[in-house]
Amino acid sequence: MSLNNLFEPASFSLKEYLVTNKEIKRSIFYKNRYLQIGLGIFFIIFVLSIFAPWLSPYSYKEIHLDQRNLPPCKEFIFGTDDLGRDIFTRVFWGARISFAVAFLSAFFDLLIGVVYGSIAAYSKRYVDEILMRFCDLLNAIPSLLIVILFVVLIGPGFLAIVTAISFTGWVMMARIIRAEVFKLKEANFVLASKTMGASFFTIFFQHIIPNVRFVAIATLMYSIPSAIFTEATLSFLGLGIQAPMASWGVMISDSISALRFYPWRLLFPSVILTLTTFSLNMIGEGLKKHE
Amino acid sequence: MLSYIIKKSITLLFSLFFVITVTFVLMQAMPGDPFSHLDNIPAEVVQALHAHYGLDKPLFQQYVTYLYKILQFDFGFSLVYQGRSINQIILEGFPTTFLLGMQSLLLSLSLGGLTGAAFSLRKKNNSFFLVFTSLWFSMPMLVIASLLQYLFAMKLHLLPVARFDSFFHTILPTITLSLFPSAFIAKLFKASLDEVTKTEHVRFAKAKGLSAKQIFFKHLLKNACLPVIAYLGPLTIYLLTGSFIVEKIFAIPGLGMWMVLSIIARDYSVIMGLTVFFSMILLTINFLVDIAYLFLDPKIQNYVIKQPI
Repeated sequence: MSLNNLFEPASFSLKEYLVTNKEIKRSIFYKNRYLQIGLGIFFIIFVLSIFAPWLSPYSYKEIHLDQRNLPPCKEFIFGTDDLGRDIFTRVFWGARISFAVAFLSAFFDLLIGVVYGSIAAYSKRYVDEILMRFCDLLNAIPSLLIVILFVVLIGPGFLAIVTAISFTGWVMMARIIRAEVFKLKEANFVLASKTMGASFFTIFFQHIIPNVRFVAIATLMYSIPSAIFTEATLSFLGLGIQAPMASWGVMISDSISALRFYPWRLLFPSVILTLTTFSLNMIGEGLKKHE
Repeated sequence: MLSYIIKKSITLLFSLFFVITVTFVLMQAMPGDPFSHLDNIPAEVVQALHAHYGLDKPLFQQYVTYLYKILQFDFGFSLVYQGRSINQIILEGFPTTFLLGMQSLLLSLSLGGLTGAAFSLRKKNNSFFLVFTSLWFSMPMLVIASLLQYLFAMKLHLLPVARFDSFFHTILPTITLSLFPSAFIAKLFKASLDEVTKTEHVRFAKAKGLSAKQIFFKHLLKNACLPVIAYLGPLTIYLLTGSFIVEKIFAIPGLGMWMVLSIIARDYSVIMGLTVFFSMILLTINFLVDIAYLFLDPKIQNYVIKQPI
Protein backbone atom coordinates (compact mmCIF):
# COMPACT_ATOMS: atom_id res chain seq x y z
CA MET A 1 0.00 0.00 0.00
CA SER A 2 1.48 3.30 -1.03
CA LEU A 3 1.42 6.38 1.09
CA ASN A 4 -1.06 8.04 -1.25
CA ASN A 5 -3.58 5.33 -0.70
CA LEU A 6 -3.31 5.67 3.00
CA PHE A 7 -4.46 9.26 3.01
CA GLU A 8 -7.33 8.85 0.59
CA PRO A 9 -10.70 8.93 2.27
CA ALA A 10 -12.05 5.44 2.68
CA SER A 11 -14.94 4.91 0.34
CA PHE A 12 -17.50 2.57 1.77
CA SER A 13 -20.81 1.80 0.19
CA LEU A 14 -23.20 -0.39 2.06
CA LYS A 15 -24.74 -1.69 -1.14
CA GLU A 16 -21.43 -2.84 -2.51
CA TYR A 17 -20.56 -4.52 0.75
CA LEU A 18 -23.84 -6.39 0.90
CA VAL A 19 -23.58 -7.55 -2.70
CA THR A 20 -20.05 -8.88 -2.28
CA ASN A 21 -20.99 -10.54 0.95
CA LYS A 22 -23.87 -12.29 -0.76
CA GLU A 23 -21.63 -13.36 -3.62
CA ILE A 24 -19.11 -14.78 -1.23
CA LYS A 25 -21.81 -16.73 0.53
CA ARG A 26 -23.07 -18.06 -2.77
CA SER A 27 -19.67 -19.06 -4.01
CA ILE A 28 -19.08 -20.93 -0.78
CA PHE A 29 -21.97 -23.15 -1.72
CA TYR A 30 -21.52 -23.31 -5.48
CA LYS A 31 -17.82 -24.06 -5.51
CA ASN A 32 -17.96 -26.52 -2.68
CA ARG A 33 -18.68 -29.97 -4.09
CA TYR A 34 -18.59 -31.66 -0.67
CA LEU A 35 -21.19 -29.33 0.73
CA GLN A 36 -23.42 -29.86 -2.31
CA ILE A 37 -23.18 -33.64 -2.21
CA GLY A 38 -23.66 -33.76 1.54
CA LEU A 39 -26.59 -31.39 1.68
CA GLY A 40 -28.17 -33.04 -1.38
CA ILE A 41 -28.16 -36.57 0.00
CA PHE A 42 -29.16 -35.40 3.44
CA PHE A 43 -32.04 -33.31 2.10
CA ILE A 44 -33.47 -36.24 0.11
CA ILE A 45 -33.39 -38.61 3.09
CA PHE A 46 -34.75 -35.96 5.40
CA VAL A 47 -37.68 -35.12 3.12
CA LEU A 48 -38.46 -38.80 2.59
CA SER A 49 -38.50 -39.36 6.33
CA ILE A 50 -40.79 -36.38 6.92
CA PHE A 51 -43.27 -37.54 4.31
CA ALA A 52 -42.96 -41.22 5.21
CA PRO A 53 -46.55 -41.59 6.48
CA TRP A 54 -47.97 -40.29 3.21
CA LEU A 55 -45.52 -41.97 0.84
CA SER A 56 -46.51 -45.54 1.43
CA PRO A 57 -49.89 -47.19 1.81
CA TYR A 58 -48.69 -49.22 4.81
CA SER A 59 -48.08 -48.24 8.39
CA TYR A 60 -44.82 -49.05 10.19
CA LYS A 61 -46.56 -51.52 12.50
CA GLU A 62 -48.95 -53.09 10.02
CA ILE A 63 -48.41 -56.84 10.11
CA HIS A 64 -49.02 -59.09 7.07
CA LEU A 65 -48.47 -62.58 8.40
CA ASP A 66 -49.06 -64.16 5.00
CA GLN A 67 -46.38 -62.00 3.36
CA ARG A 68 -43.40 -62.54 5.59
CA ASN A 69 -39.77 -62.03 4.49
CA LEU A 70 -40.68 -61.11 0.93
CA PRO A 71 -37.81 -59.98 -1.29
CA PRO A 72 -38.17 -56.55 -2.91
CA CYS A 73 -41.12 -56.62 -5.30
CA LYS A 74 -43.75 -54.35 -6.82
CA GLU A 75 -45.94 -54.07 -3.75
CA PHE A 76 -43.14 -53.85 -1.21
CA ILE A 77 -40.25 -52.09 -2.95
CA PHE A 78 -37.78 -52.85 -0.15
CA GLY A 79 -39.36 -56.19 0.77
CA THR A 80 -40.90 -57.17 4.09
CA ASP A 81 -39.54 -58.32 7.44
CA ASP A 82 -40.22 -61.34 9.62
CA LEU A 83 -43.70 -60.09 10.59
CA GLY A 84 -44.58 -59.00 7.07
CA ARG A 85 -44.08 -55.31 7.79
CA ASP A 86 -43.09 -53.13 4.85
CA ILE A 87 -39.38 -52.34 5.07
CA PHE A 88 -39.59 -49.14 3.01
CA THR A 89 -42.08 -47.65 5.46
CA ARG A 90 -40.12 -48.83 8.44
CA VAL A 91 -36.81 -47.49 7.12
CA PHE A 92 -38.20 -43.98 6.80
CA TRP A 93 -40.20 -44.15 10.01
CA GLY A 94 -36.98 -45.35 11.58
CA ALA A 95 -35.25 -42.36 10.06
CA ARG A 96 -37.59 -40.14 12.05
CA ILE A 97 -36.61 -41.80 15.32
CA SER A 98 -32.93 -41.85 14.45
CA PHE A 99 -33.04 -38.20 13.40
CA ALA A 100 -34.93 -37.28 16.53
CA VAL A 101 -32.35 -39.03 18.72
CA ALA A 102 -29.50 -37.51 16.74
CA PHE A 103 -30.82 -33.94 16.60
CA LEU A 104 -31.99 -33.79 20.19
CA SER A 105 -28.68 -35.07 21.48
CA ALA A 106 -26.85 -32.75 19.08
CA PHE A 107 -28.85 -29.84 20.43
CA PHE A 108 -27.90 -30.67 24.01
CA ASP A 109 -24.28 -31.25 22.92
CA LEU A 110 -24.24 -27.78 21.46
CA LEU A 111 -25.94 -26.17 24.42
CA ILE A 112 -23.85 -27.79 27.14
CA GLY A 113 -20.66 -27.66 25.08
CA VAL A 114 -20.93 -23.95 24.26
CA VAL A 115 -21.89 -22.93 27.79
CA TYR A 116 -19.30 -25.13 29.47
CA GLY A 117 -16.54 -24.26 27.00
CA SER A 118 -17.18 -20.52 27.21
CA ILE A 119 -17.28 -20.59 31.01
CA ALA A 120 -13.98 -22.47 31.03
CA ALA A 121 -12.42 -20.06 28.56
CA TYR A 122 -13.55 -16.97 30.45
CA SER A 123 -12.85 -18.08 33.99
CA LYS A 124 -9.67 -17.82 36.01
CA ARG A 125 -6.85 -20.21 35.50
CA TYR A 126 -7.56 -22.67 38.25
CA VAL A 127 -11.30 -22.86 37.57
CA ASP A 128 -10.48 -23.49 33.93
CA GLU A 129 -8.02 -26.17 34.99
CA ILE A 130 -10.61 -27.91 37.16
CA LEU A 131 -13.28 -27.77 34.46
CA MET A 132 -10.92 -29.17 31.85
CA ARG A 133 -9.65 -31.93 34.16
CA PHE A 134 -13.26 -32.96 34.64
CA CYS A 135 -13.53 -33.24 30.84
CA ASP A 136 -10.41 -35.42 30.83
CA LEU A 137 -11.97 -37.58 33.48
CA LEU A 138 -15.14 -38.10 31.46
CA ASN A 139 -13.03 -38.78 28.38
CA ALA A 140 -11.13 -41.48 30.21
CA ILE A 141 -14.25 -43.60 30.76
CA PRO A 142 -15.63 -45.24 27.62
CA SER A 143 -18.72 -43.16 26.89
CA LEU A 144 -20.61 -46.16 25.53
CA LEU A 145 -20.26 -47.80 28.94
CA ILE A 146 -21.70 -44.75 30.68
CA VAL A 147 -24.54 -44.71 28.17
CA ILE A 148 -25.21 -48.40 28.75
CA LEU A 149 -25.19 -48.02 32.55
CA PHE A 150 -27.48 -45.03 32.26
CA VAL A 151 -29.99 -46.81 30.04
CA VAL A 152 -29.90 -49.92 32.22
CA LEU A 153 -30.61 -47.65 35.17
CA ILE A 154 -33.46 -45.63 33.66
CA GLY A 155 -34.88 -48.41 31.53
CA PRO A 156 -34.71 -48.49 27.74
CA GLY A 157 -36.67 -45.99 25.71
CA PHE A 158 -36.38 -42.88 23.61
CA LEU A 159 -35.86 -40.43 26.48
CA ALA A 160 -33.27 -42.59 28.21
CA ILE A 161 -31.24 -42.86 25.02
CA VAL A 162 -31.31 -39.13 24.33
CA THR A 163 -30.42 -38.26 27.94
CA ALA A 164 -27.61 -40.78 28.05
CA ILE A 165 -26.08 -39.68 24.74
CA SER A 166 -26.26 -35.99 25.58
CA PHE A 167 -24.86 -36.70 29.03
CA THR A 168 -21.61 -37.96 27.53
CA GLY A 169 -21.46 -36.32 24.11
CA TRP A 170 -20.67 -32.73 24.98
CA VAL A 171 -17.05 -33.20 26.06
CA MET A 172 -15.48 -32.83 22.63
CA MET A 173 -17.66 -29.84 21.81
CA ALA A 174 -16.77 -28.14 25.12
CA ARG A 175 -13.06 -28.59 24.45
CA ILE A 176 -13.19 -27.24 20.93
CA ILE A 177 -15.38 -24.29 21.92
CA ARG A 178 -13.07 -23.49 24.83
CA ALA A 179 -10.03 -23.42 22.55
CA GLU A 180 -11.82 -21.19 20.03
CA VAL A 181 -13.21 -18.76 22.59
CA PHE A 182 -9.82 -18.60 24.24
CA LYS A 183 -8.27 -17.47 20.97
CA LEU A 184 -11.11 -15.09 20.10
CA LYS A 185 -11.38 -13.26 23.38
CA GLU A 186 -7.88 -11.87 22.86
CA ALA A 187 -8.42 -11.10 19.18
CA ASN A 188 -7.95 -7.55 18.01
CA PHE A 189 -11.52 -6.95 16.90
CA VAL A 190 -12.81 -8.07 20.27
CA LEU A 191 -10.38 -5.78 22.07
CA ALA A 192 -11.42 -2.96 19.75
CA SER A 193 -15.05 -3.52 20.53
CA LYS A 194 -14.22 -3.65 24.22
CA THR A 195 -12.38 -0.32 24.09
CA MET A 196 -15.41 1.15 22.39
CA GLY A 197 -17.38 0.22 25.47
CA ALA A 198 -19.28 -2.84 24.35
CA SER A 199 -20.69 -4.91 27.17
CA PHE A 200 -19.74 -8.51 27.77
CA PHE A 201 -22.98 -9.81 26.31
CA THR A 202 -22.67 -7.71 23.17
CA ILE A 203 -19.17 -9.00 22.62
CA PHE A 204 -20.15 -12.56 23.35
CA PHE A 205 -23.25 -12.73 21.17
CA GLN A 206 -22.14 -10.43 18.36
CA HIS A 207 -18.49 -11.34 18.02
CA ILE A 208 -17.64 -14.59 19.72
CA ILE A 209 -20.65 -16.75 18.88
CA PRO A 210 -20.78 -15.89 15.15
CA ASN A 211 -17.09 -16.76 14.91
CA VAL A 212 -17.30 -20.15 16.58
CA ARG A 213 -20.44 -21.10 14.68
CA PHE A 214 -18.70 -22.86 11.78
CA VAL A 215 -16.42 -24.85 14.04
CA ALA A 216 -19.38 -25.82 16.20
CA ILE A 217 -21.41 -27.03 13.22
CA ALA A 218 -18.44 -28.94 11.81
CA THR A 219 -18.07 -30.65 15.19
CA LEU A 220 -21.77 -31.46 15.23
CA MET A 221 -21.38 -33.18 11.89
CA TYR A 222 -19.21 -35.69 13.71
CA SER A 223 -21.26 -36.00 16.87
CA ILE A 224 -24.55 -36.60 15.03
CA PRO A 225 -23.23 -39.75 13.28
CA SER A 226 -21.80 -40.98 16.54
CA ALA A 227 -25.21 -40.49 18.18
CA ILE A 228 -26.80 -42.52 15.37
CA PHE A 229 -24.17 -45.24 15.80
CA THR A 230 -24.69 -45.30 19.56
CA GLU A 231 -28.42 -45.70 19.07
CA ALA A 232 -27.77 -48.62 16.71
CA THR A 233 -25.41 -50.24 19.21
CA LEU A 234 -27.91 -49.82 22.02
CA SER A 235 -30.63 -51.42 19.90
CA PHE A 236 -28.29 -54.31 19.22
CA LEU A 237 -27.85 -54.77 22.96
CA GLY A 238 -31.61 -54.74 23.43
CA LEU A 239 -31.51 -51.35 25.12
CA GLY A 240 -32.80 -49.33 22.20
CA ILE A 241 -36.17 -48.19 20.97
CA GLN A 242 -38.77 -50.76 21.96
CA ALA A 243 -41.14 -52.53 19.56
CA PRO A 244 -43.28 -51.76 17.59
CA MET A 245 -41.42 -48.50 16.91
CA ALA A 246 -38.73 -48.81 14.29
CA SER A 247 -35.30 -47.32 14.23
CA TRP A 248 -32.36 -48.12 11.98
CA GLY A 249 -30.56 -49.79 14.84
CA VAL A 250 -33.55 -51.98 15.67
CA MET A 251 -34.03 -52.99 12.04
CA ILE A 252 -30.34 -53.80 11.52
CA SER A 253 -30.01 -55.81 14.68
CA ASP A 254 -33.27 -57.68 13.99
CA SER A 255 -32.06 -58.61 10.53
CA ILE A 256 -28.71 -60.02 11.64
CA SER A 257 -30.16 -63.25 12.95
CA ALA A 258 -31.79 -63.99 9.59
CA LEU A 259 -28.92 -62.69 7.50
CA ARG A 260 -28.22 -65.89 5.62
CA PHE A 261 -31.67 -66.10 4.06
CA TYR A 262 -33.00 -62.54 3.94
CA PRO A 263 -30.03 -60.22 3.31
CA TRP A 264 -32.20 -57.39 1.97
CA ARG A 265 -33.57 -56.85 5.44
CA LEU A 266 -30.07 -55.78 6.47
CA LEU A 267 -29.21 -54.04 3.22
CA PHE A 268 -31.82 -51.28 3.06
CA PRO A 269 -31.62 -49.81 6.55
CA SER A 270 -27.84 -49.98 6.53
CA VAL A 271 -27.52 -48.34 3.11
CA ILE A 272 -29.76 -45.47 4.20
CA LEU A 273 -27.88 -45.15 7.51
CA THR A 274 -24.52 -45.14 5.76
CA LEU A 275 -25.70 -42.56 3.22
CA THR A 276 -26.93 -40.31 6.03
CA THR A 277 -23.71 -40.43 8.02
CA PHE A 278 -21.74 -40.07 4.80
CA SER A 279 -23.68 -36.93 3.86
CA LEU A 280 -23.11 -35.47 7.33
CA ASN A 281 -19.40 -36.21 7.02
CA MET A 282 -19.33 -34.49 3.64
CA ILE A 283 -21.08 -31.43 5.07
CA GLY A 284 -18.48 -31.36 7.83
CA GLU A 285 -15.63 -31.54 5.33
CA GLY A 286 -17.23 -28.84 3.21
CA LEU A 287 -17.57 -26.51 6.18
CA LYS A 288 -14.00 -27.20 7.25
CA LYS A 289 -12.74 -26.20 3.83
CA HIS A 290 -14.29 -22.77 4.22
CA GLU A 291 -12.92 -21.54 7.43
CA MET B 1 10.07 -34.22 34.06
CA LEU B 2 9.56 -36.20 37.22
CA SER B 3 6.93 -33.75 38.40
CA TYR B 4 5.07 -34.28 35.11
CA ILE B 5 5.07 -38.03 35.64
CA ILE B 6 3.97 -37.61 39.26
CA LYS B 7 1.18 -35.28 38.21
CA LYS B 8 -0.01 -37.76 35.60
CA SER B 9 0.07 -40.64 38.10
CA ILE B 10 -2.00 -38.63 40.56
CA THR B 11 -4.50 -37.97 37.76
CA LEU B 12 -4.53 -41.68 37.00
CA LEU B 13 -5.26 -42.63 40.61
CA PHE B 14 -7.88 -39.94 40.97
CA SER B 15 -9.66 -41.02 37.77
CA LEU B 16 -9.65 -44.60 38.95
CA PHE B 17 -11.15 -43.53 42.25
CA PHE B 18 -13.77 -41.50 40.35
CA VAL B 19 -14.74 -44.45 38.15
CA ILE B 20 -15.06 -46.80 41.13
CA THR B 21 -17.15 -44.29 43.05
CA VAL B 22 -19.46 -43.65 40.11
CA THR B 23 -20.00 -47.34 39.48
CA PHE B 24 -20.70 -47.88 43.16
CA VAL B 25 -23.25 -45.06 43.25
CA LEU B 26 -24.91 -46.39 40.09
CA MET B 27 -24.98 -49.88 41.54
CA GLN B 28 -26.80 -48.54 44.57
CA ALA B 29 -29.21 -46.63 42.35
CA MET B 30 -30.12 -49.73 40.37
CA PRO B 31 -33.72 -50.72 40.95
CA GLY B 32 -34.45 -53.74 43.06
CA ASP B 33 -32.57 -56.03 45.36
CA PRO B 34 -29.98 -58.39 43.86
CA PHE B 35 -32.00 -61.30 45.24
CA SER B 36 -35.46 -60.06 44.39
CA HIS B 37 -35.65 -62.39 41.36
CA LEU B 38 -35.40 -65.44 43.62
CA ASP B 39 -38.98 -66.40 44.39
CA ASN B 40 -40.28 -68.63 47.18
CA ILE B 41 -37.38 -68.08 49.47
CA PRO B 42 -37.93 -67.55 53.17
CA ALA B 43 -36.96 -64.21 54.62
CA GLU B 44 -34.25 -65.75 56.76
CA VAL B 45 -32.42 -67.09 53.73
CA VAL B 46 -32.53 -63.67 52.07
CA GLN B 47 -31.19 -62.19 55.27
CA ALA B 48 -28.43 -64.74 55.36
CA LEU B 49 -27.57 -63.95 51.74
CA HIS B 50 -27.44 -60.24 52.58
CA ALA B 51 -25.17 -60.97 55.51
CA HIS B 52 -22.98 -63.17 53.34
CA TYR B 53 -22.47 -60.49 50.70
CA GLY B 54 -22.20 -57.73 53.31
CA LEU B 55 -25.33 -55.96 52.07
CA ASP B 56 -26.74 -55.48 55.58
CA LYS B 57 -23.91 -53.15 56.60
CA PRO B 58 -24.16 -49.35 56.32
CA LEU B 59 -23.57 -47.87 52.86
CA PHE B 60 -20.28 -46.19 53.68
CA GLN B 61 -18.83 -49.39 55.05
CA GLN B 62 -19.96 -51.24 51.92
CA TYR B 63 -18.26 -48.57 49.83
CA VAL B 64 -14.98 -48.91 51.71
CA THR B 65 -15.08 -52.69 51.38
CA TYR B 66 -15.80 -52.39 47.67
CA LEU B 67 -12.90 -49.99 47.17
CA TYR B 68 -10.58 -52.16 49.21
CA LYS B 69 -11.56 -55.28 47.29
CA ILE B 70 -11.08 -53.66 43.90
CA LEU B 71 -7.64 -52.42 44.90
CA GLN B 72 -6.82 -56.07 45.50
CA PHE B 73 -8.24 -56.93 42.07
CA ASP B 74 -11.21 -58.73 43.56
CA PHE B 75 -14.24 -57.70 41.54
CA GLY B 76 -16.85 -59.77 43.34
CA PHE B 77 -19.34 -62.34 42.16
CA SER B 78 -21.84 -62.70 39.39
CA LEU B 79 -25.43 -62.45 40.59
CA VAL B 80 -26.94 -64.49 37.78
CA TYR B 81 -24.40 -67.23 37.09
CA GLN B 82 -24.06 -68.92 40.42
CA GLY B 83 -20.62 -69.40 41.84
CA ARG B 84 -18.87 -67.54 39.05
CA SER B 85 -16.55 -64.79 40.15
CA ILE B 86 -15.86 -61.81 37.94
CA ASN B 87 -12.14 -62.48 38.24
CA GLN B 88 -12.73 -65.87 36.67
CA ILE B 89 -14.68 -64.24 33.82
CA ILE B 90 -11.86 -61.77 33.24
CA LEU B 91 -9.23 -64.48 33.31
CA GLU B 92 -11.15 -66.52 30.76
CA GLY B 93 -12.22 -63.71 28.47
CA PHE B 94 -9.44 -61.20 28.55
CA PRO B 95 -6.76 -63.12 26.56
CA THR B 96 -9.16 -63.44 23.61
CA THR B 97 -10.22 -59.81 23.72
CA PHE B 98 -6.60 -58.75 24.12
CA LEU B 99 -5.47 -60.79 21.11
CA LEU B 100 -8.29 -59.44 18.96
CA GLY B 101 -7.63 -55.89 20.13
CA MET B 102 -3.90 -56.07 19.48
CA GLN B 103 -4.40 -57.49 15.99
CA SER B 104 -6.90 -54.75 15.18
CA LEU B 105 -4.62 -52.10 16.65
CA LEU B 106 -1.72 -53.23 14.46
CA LEU B 107 -3.88 -53.57 11.37
CA SER B 108 -5.52 -50.16 11.78
CA LEU B 109 -2.23 -48.42 12.52
CA SER B 110 -0.47 -49.93 9.53
CA LEU B 111 -3.39 -49.63 7.13
CA GLY B 112 -4.27 -46.10 8.21
CA GLY B 113 -0.66 -44.96 8.35
CA LEU B 114 0.16 -46.33 4.90
CA THR B 115 -2.97 -44.90 3.27
CA GLY B 116 -2.48 -41.50 4.86
CA ALA B 117 1.19 -41.35 3.96
CA ALA B 118 0.61 -42.52 0.39
CA PHE B 119 -2.06 -39.91 -0.30
CA SER B 120 -0.10 -37.16 1.43
CA LEU B 121 3.08 -37.87 -0.56
CA ARG B 122 1.34 -38.18 -3.93
CA LYS B 123 -0.46 -34.86 -3.46
CA LYS B 124 -3.09 -35.99 -5.96
CA ASN B 125 -6.59 -37.38 -5.65
CA ASN B 126 -7.31 -35.39 -2.55
CA SER B 127 -11.05 -35.47 -3.00
CA PHE B 128 -10.97 -39.17 -3.83
CA PHE B 129 -9.16 -39.76 -0.54
CA LEU B 130 -11.67 -37.66 1.35
CA VAL B 131 -14.75 -39.30 -0.12
CA PHE B 132 -13.20 -42.74 0.26
CA THR B 133 -12.29 -42.37 3.94
CA SER B 134 -15.59 -40.66 4.75
CA LEU B 135 -17.51 -43.51 3.18
CA TRP B 136 -15.27 -45.88 5.06
CA PHE B 137 -16.14 -44.49 8.40
CA SER B 138 -19.78 -43.82 7.73
CA MET B 139 -20.53 -47.48 8.22
CA PRO B 140 -21.41 -48.56 11.75
CA MET B 141 -19.64 -51.64 13.02
CA LEU B 142 -22.86 -53.64 13.08
CA VAL B 143 -23.19 -53.20 9.33
CA ILE B 144 -19.54 -53.89 8.54
CA ALA B 145 -19.55 -57.03 10.67
CA SER B 146 -22.69 -58.49 9.19
CA LEU B 147 -21.81 -57.54 5.61
CA LEU B 148 -18.35 -59.13 5.89
CA GLN B 149 -19.88 -62.19 7.49
CA TYR B 150 -22.48 -62.46 4.75
CA LEU B 151 -20.07 -61.91 1.86
CA PHE B 152 -16.94 -63.81 2.86
CA ALA B 153 -18.36 -66.50 5.08
CA MET B 154 -21.88 -67.24 3.88
CA LYS B 155 -21.68 -66.54 0.15
CA LEU B 156 -18.05 -67.09 -0.85
CA HIS B 157 -17.26 -69.66 1.87
CA LEU B 158 -13.73 -68.32 2.13
CA LEU B 159 -13.55 -67.81 5.87
CA PRO B 160 -15.31 -69.34 8.87
CA VAL B 161 -18.60 -67.73 9.86
CA ALA B 162 -17.97 -67.44 13.58
CA ARG B 163 -16.07 -68.66 16.65
CA PHE B 164 -12.46 -68.17 17.53
CA ASP B 165 -10.41 -71.29 17.00
CA SER B 166 -7.63 -70.52 14.53
CA PHE B 167 -6.00 -67.56 12.85
CA PHE B 168 -8.52 -67.74 10.01
CA HIS B 169 -11.30 -67.23 12.51
CA THR B 170 -9.73 -63.97 13.62
CA ILE B 171 -9.51 -62.39 10.17
CA LEU B 172 -13.08 -61.13 9.78
CA PRO B 173 -13.43 -59.77 13.35
CA THR B 174 -10.08 -58.02 13.06
CA ILE B 175 -11.02 -56.35 9.78
CA THR B 176 -14.38 -55.33 11.23
CA LEU B 177 -12.78 -53.71 14.24
CA SER B 178 -10.07 -51.91 12.33
CA LEU B 179 -11.93 -50.39 9.38
CA PHE B 180 -13.22 -47.32 11.21
CA PRO B 181 -10.02 -46.53 13.13
CA SER B 182 -7.85 -47.03 10.06
CA ALA B 183 -9.95 -44.52 8.11
CA PHE B 184 -9.68 -42.11 11.02
CA ILE B 185 -5.93 -42.62 11.36
CA ALA B 186 -5.49 -42.17 7.60
CA LYS B 187 -7.29 -38.82 7.77
CA LEU B 188 -5.42 -37.72 10.87
CA PHE B 189 -2.01 -38.80 9.58
CA LYS B 190 -2.54 -37.22 6.18
CA ALA B 191 -3.66 -33.93 7.72
CA SER B 192 -0.72 -33.76 10.07
CA LEU B 193 1.74 -34.81 7.34
CA ASP B 194 0.37 -32.07 5.11
CA GLU B 195 0.77 -29.58 7.91
CA VAL B 196 4.32 -30.59 8.76
CA THR B 197 5.28 -30.52 5.07
CA LYS B 198 4.40 -26.85 4.99
CA THR B 199 6.65 -25.92 7.91
CA GLU B 200 9.85 -23.98 7.44
CA HIS B 201 12.26 -26.64 8.56
CA VAL B 202 10.97 -29.14 6.04
CA ARG B 203 11.20 -26.56 3.27
CA PHE B 204 14.71 -25.84 4.40
CA ALA B 205 15.57 -29.52 4.31
CA LYS B 206 14.21 -29.65 0.78
CA ALA B 207 16.23 -26.60 -0.22
CA LYS B 208 19.31 -28.19 1.31
CA GLY B 209 18.87 -30.97 -1.21
CA LEU B 210 17.82 -33.87 1.00
CA SER B 211 16.06 -36.65 -0.83
CA ALA B 212 12.36 -37.18 -0.33
CA LYS B 213 13.07 -40.37 1.59
CA GLN B 214 15.42 -38.63 4.02
CA ILE B 215 12.97 -35.79 4.57
CA PHE B 216 10.14 -38.20 5.22
CA PHE B 217 11.93 -40.36 7.75
CA LYS B 218 13.99 -37.70 9.47
CA HIS B 219 11.74 -34.69 9.52
CA LEU B 220 8.17 -35.60 8.71
CA LEU B 221 7.50 -38.87 10.41
CA LYS B 222 8.36 -38.00 13.99
CA ASN B 223 6.41 -34.76 13.99
CA ALA B 224 3.42 -36.13 12.13
CA CYS B 225 3.16 -39.14 14.43
CA LEU B 226 2.13 -37.10 17.47
CA PRO B 227 -1.62 -36.79 16.72
CA VAL B 228 -1.75 -40.48 15.86
CA ILE B 229 -0.18 -41.35 19.22
CA ALA B 230 -2.64 -39.07 20.96
CA TYR B 231 -5.40 -41.01 19.20
CA LEU B 232 -4.27 -44.27 20.83
CA GLY B 233 -6.43 -43.57 23.89
CA PRO B 234 -9.69 -43.08 21.96
CA LEU B 235 -8.68 -45.99 19.75
CA THR B 236 -8.51 -48.24 22.80
CA ILE B 237 -11.96 -47.07 23.84
CA TYR B 238 -13.22 -47.88 20.36
CA LEU B 239 -11.64 -51.34 20.34
CA LEU B 240 -12.96 -52.20 23.81
CA THR B 241 -16.51 -51.07 23.18
CA GLY B 242 -16.37 -52.40 19.63
CA SER B 243 -15.55 -55.81 21.03
CA PHE B 244 -19.11 -55.97 22.43
CA ILE B 245 -20.62 -56.02 18.97
CA VAL B 246 -17.93 -57.98 17.17
CA GLU B 247 -17.71 -60.69 19.81
CA LYS B 248 -21.48 -61.04 19.90
CA ILE B 249 -21.85 -61.27 16.12
CA PHE B 250 -18.90 -63.61 15.58
CA ALA B 251 -19.61 -65.60 18.76
CA ILE B 252 -16.18 -65.00 20.25
CA PRO B 253 -15.92 -65.92 23.92
CA GLY B 254 -14.24 -62.71 25.09
CA LEU B 255 -14.96 -60.00 27.61
CA GLY B 256 -17.22 -58.11 25.19
CA MET B 257 -19.43 -61.16 24.84
CA TRP B 258 -19.65 -61.45 28.64
CA MET B 259 -20.52 -57.78 28.85
CA VAL B 260 -23.36 -58.17 26.36
CA LEU B 261 -24.63 -61.31 28.08
CA SER B 262 -24.64 -59.63 31.47
CA ILE B 263 -26.38 -56.56 30.05
CA ILE B 264 -29.10 -58.78 28.59
CA ALA B 265 -29.40 -60.73 31.87
CA ARG B 266 -29.20 -57.49 33.90
CA ASP B 267 -26.31 -58.96 35.89
CA TYR B 268 -25.41 -55.68 37.60
CA SER B 269 -22.33 -56.80 39.46
CA VAL B 270 -20.69 -58.18 36.32
CA ILE B 271 -21.55 -55.00 34.37
CA MET B 272 -19.99 -52.87 37.09
CA GLY B 273 -16.95 -55.08 37.54
CA LEU B 274 -16.21 -55.18 33.82
CA THR B 275 -16.77 -51.41 33.56
CA VAL B 276 -14.17 -50.84 36.26
CA PHE B 277 -11.82 -53.30 34.58
CA PHE B 278 -12.22 -51.66 31.15
CA SER B 279 -11.64 -48.24 32.67
CA MET B 280 -8.49 -49.53 34.39
CA ILE B 281 -7.07 -50.68 31.06
CA LEU B 282 -8.01 -47.42 29.44
CA LEU B 283 -6.56 -45.22 32.16
CA THR B 284 -3.31 -47.18 32.03
CA ILE B 285 -3.12 -46.71 28.26
CA ASN B 286 -3.83 -42.99 28.59
CA PHE B 287 -1.07 -42.76 31.19
CA LEU B 288 1.37 -44.55 28.89
CA VAL B 289 0.42 -42.25 26.00
CA ASP B 290 1.09 -39.22 28.19
CA ILE B 291 4.50 -40.59 29.13
CA ALA B 292 5.28 -41.40 25.49
CA TYR B 293 4.35 -37.84 24.57
CA LEU B 294 6.92 -36.61 27.05
CA PHE B 295 9.68 -38.36 25.12
CA LEU B 296 8.38 -37.56 21.64
CA ASP B 297 7.26 -33.97 21.88
CA PRO B 298 9.99 -31.51 22.85
CA LYS B 299 7.35 -28.83 23.36
CA ILE B 300 5.95 -30.64 26.38
CA GLN B 301 9.44 -30.95 27.83
CA ASN B 302 9.88 -27.19 27.56
CA TYR B 303 6.51 -26.70 29.11
CA VAL B 304 7.45 -28.98 31.97
CA ILE B 305 10.74 -27.25 32.59
CA LYS B 306 9.35 -23.75 32.35
CA GLN B 307 6.26 -24.32 34.43
CA PRO B 308 6.83 -25.97 37.75
CA ILE B 309 3.65 -27.92 38.22
